[in-house]
Amino acid sequence: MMDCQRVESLLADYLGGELSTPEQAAVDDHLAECKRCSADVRSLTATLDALGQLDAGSFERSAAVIPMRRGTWRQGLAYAAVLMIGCMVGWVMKPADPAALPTGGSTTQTDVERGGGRSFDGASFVDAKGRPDSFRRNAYLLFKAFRGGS
Amino acid sequence: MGVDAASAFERYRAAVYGWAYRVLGDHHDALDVTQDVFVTWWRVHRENGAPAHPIGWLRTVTINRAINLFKTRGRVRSLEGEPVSDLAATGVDREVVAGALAGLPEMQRAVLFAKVYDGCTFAEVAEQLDVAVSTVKTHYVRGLQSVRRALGAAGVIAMEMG
Ligand SMILES: [Zn+2]
Repeated sequence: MMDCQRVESLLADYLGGELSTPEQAAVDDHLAECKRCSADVRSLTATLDALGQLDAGSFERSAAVIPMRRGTWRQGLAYAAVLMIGCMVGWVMKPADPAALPTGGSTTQTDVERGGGRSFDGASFVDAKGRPDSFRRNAYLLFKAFRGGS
Repeated sequence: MGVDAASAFERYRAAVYGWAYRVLGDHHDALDVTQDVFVTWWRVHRENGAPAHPIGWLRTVTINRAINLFKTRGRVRSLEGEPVSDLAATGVDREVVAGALAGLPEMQRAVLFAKVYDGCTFAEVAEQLDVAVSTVKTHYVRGLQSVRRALGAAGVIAMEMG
């Protein structure tokens, strides 16, 4: 019979469905006898169930929005930038120096991005009410990428 | 080796959108994040090439961006006095579950997404994130325990631990 410590050491594999059949049976035997471990596993399983309820949506609906099935990445960016610029009438036709652009909120750079070897200067944008404006920000980034500037 | 930006976009755009959507539950927000992530990909990797494991990089960056947007949206809604939860609409309190994920360290989130949503094995996740398998398992269990704590506090799951 497995003890609690052994079950604990196999918890990840058990919950992740990566135990061999005999190992899983041995854990199940322990859980049938041990209230503490079975309560632990039950609540973690409920947690997994809750996580499982976040659905992934459907990218297919968005396929028309980012039309890059054919052509190069650069052409795609150029196309997207043109679309964006077309929509930006009344805002700014030519992004200025990032330092001069409206900032606010927080710009976040992750460890992974930093590890990528290149800094990300994502200036952040807010609208007149101080709310984040990802449209302007993305338009700015696309425009910069299109121009090849950094 | 590596994957250029165009083929990365082709191959991973649906995955990126899916990760973002799981956090945000909104089509346009998920699209914003998808676009943002691939622009970042292009900027970060155009000189040194793509990372050895694009999916690990993309998953981590996408989740982080989505969580940041999720947190910002929550602040905006609370400022505007709108209800933060859409429990009645969906049956599951998406905001609470996403909020629980938002409270996790980056690595725990990435491991949970890989394991729970992408169906990767621990060994695959370890390779994608370039860490030991035992580390992945630790992140997985700790991440689940943290989410359990948050969901228990919010009354989403029953807490019966003594
Ligand atoms: Zn036990």
